[in-house]
Amino acid sequence: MPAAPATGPPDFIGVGTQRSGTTWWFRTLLGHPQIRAPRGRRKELHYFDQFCGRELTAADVAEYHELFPRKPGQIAGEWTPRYMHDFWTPRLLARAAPEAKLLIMFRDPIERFRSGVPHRLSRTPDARMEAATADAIERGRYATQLRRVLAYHDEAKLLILQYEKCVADPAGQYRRTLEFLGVGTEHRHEELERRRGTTQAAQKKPLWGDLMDGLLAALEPEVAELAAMTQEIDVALWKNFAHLAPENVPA
Amino acid sequence: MSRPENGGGPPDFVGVGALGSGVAWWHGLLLAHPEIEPPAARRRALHFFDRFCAQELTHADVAEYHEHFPRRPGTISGEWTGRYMFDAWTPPLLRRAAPDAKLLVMLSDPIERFRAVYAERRSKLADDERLYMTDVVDRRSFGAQLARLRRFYDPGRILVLQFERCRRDPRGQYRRTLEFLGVRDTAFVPRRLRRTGLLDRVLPRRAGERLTGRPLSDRTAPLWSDLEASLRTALEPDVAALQRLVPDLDVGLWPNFR
Repeated sequence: MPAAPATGPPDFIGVGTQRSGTTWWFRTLLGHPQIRAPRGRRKELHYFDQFCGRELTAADVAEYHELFPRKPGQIAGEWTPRYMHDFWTPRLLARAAPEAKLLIMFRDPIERFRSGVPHRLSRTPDARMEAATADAIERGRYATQLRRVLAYHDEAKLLILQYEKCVADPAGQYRRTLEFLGVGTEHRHEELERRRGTTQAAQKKPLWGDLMDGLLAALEPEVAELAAMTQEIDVALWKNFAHLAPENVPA
Repeated sequence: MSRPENGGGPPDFVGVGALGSGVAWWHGLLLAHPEIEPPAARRRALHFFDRFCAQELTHADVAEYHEHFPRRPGTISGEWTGRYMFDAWTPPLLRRAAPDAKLLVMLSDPIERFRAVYAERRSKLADDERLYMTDVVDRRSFGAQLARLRRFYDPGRILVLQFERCRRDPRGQYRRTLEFLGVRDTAFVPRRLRRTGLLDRVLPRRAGERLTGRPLSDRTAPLWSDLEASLRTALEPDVAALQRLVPDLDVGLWPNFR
């Protein structure tokens, strides 16, 4: 009789960001024979959301570990995009899963914003428009959030993915992700080319000149700082920030 | 630009931040000055630009905004909406609607306010509800907000006040505010500031908060080590950035950042 799967801390945790293709990427990873979803096959456990309201105990940590069964030779993980934005979570992740590898998928923050506003309003219909809009802007402050993650986690165990690179070269970025996670890289995923969960163009929040000015004032410093923090982001691929790419900045 | 029929026009000053930093108290004191008029609606916070996250600001909207500020000759008028500085869409609109306005910002220790909001939200929480405070840290990221505000307004047009300094030296900071606003009588002292201390003792707490600017400090919650450490990790870089932007900010007055 085969042994029951063992549980333990997750091998990997996706911590960001919402509306950036993380569902597509997580599902793609789950197609790999060595990668297991958490119990219940949920992508987003939101386990740490509750610990802004109370302290994380040793029993909570054990309960978190119980959510990740896997057989020998397999790895397990989850991907909750808000972990990176919730300021209390990076530190708790370091307590609950100190060895876990972390994944972040970044997307052009203004495109993320355009998808994030309708998403928030559809999930919480009673949310005020200004609160939903402000939230969607704040979630695009990537450098600020990454700094908080790096305050508690070693850069070497962090993989930064760029959504636009994954769209342009899914097979190459998939392989890169598998290498980082330490599983076999020979697997070919048949659904890799099929993106899911994208917002229809008609639902995206429209932009106008003043709004764009406000968004750029808030997000340009963040994008510039992010590009300085990591080599993994090619700003030229973000159409709203391509003017910040080194080749486009006048000397 | 033609003036609206009610004698209104662009505000002379707009307070743009920050929520929960004693802005009602300070605006109230400003309105005690004989040369300073309230908006026509007599509300401190018009929240006029909130809705323009979802629609464009038209010329008619700008004219409507100006109608809020009728004033007699020799007086100035303005409003103070604490969220304008936080809402990234507002500074470019404000520049369109009130390009010559002087801006006021009142800041207070970001973690003290966090504690107060934390206690308040906790007390209202249903049993099965989770408590989120992400938005409060976003709102208290003053350094980032001031930096983006300065893209639309010259720093010389923005007065950054510190709540704790105003509490400690209300007359001095009041005079400084009047000088910045350019009123003639800068020696004026509102009656409320002539009898300091009395109001604190006799007023019910809510009214006391409004009139004296005292924050909800008696209801603040203790934070455990993980939460407090995370809060510092989140806010310390922003406070450092704020200090670079406002060199005369006295961080020593902020108990959590001494």
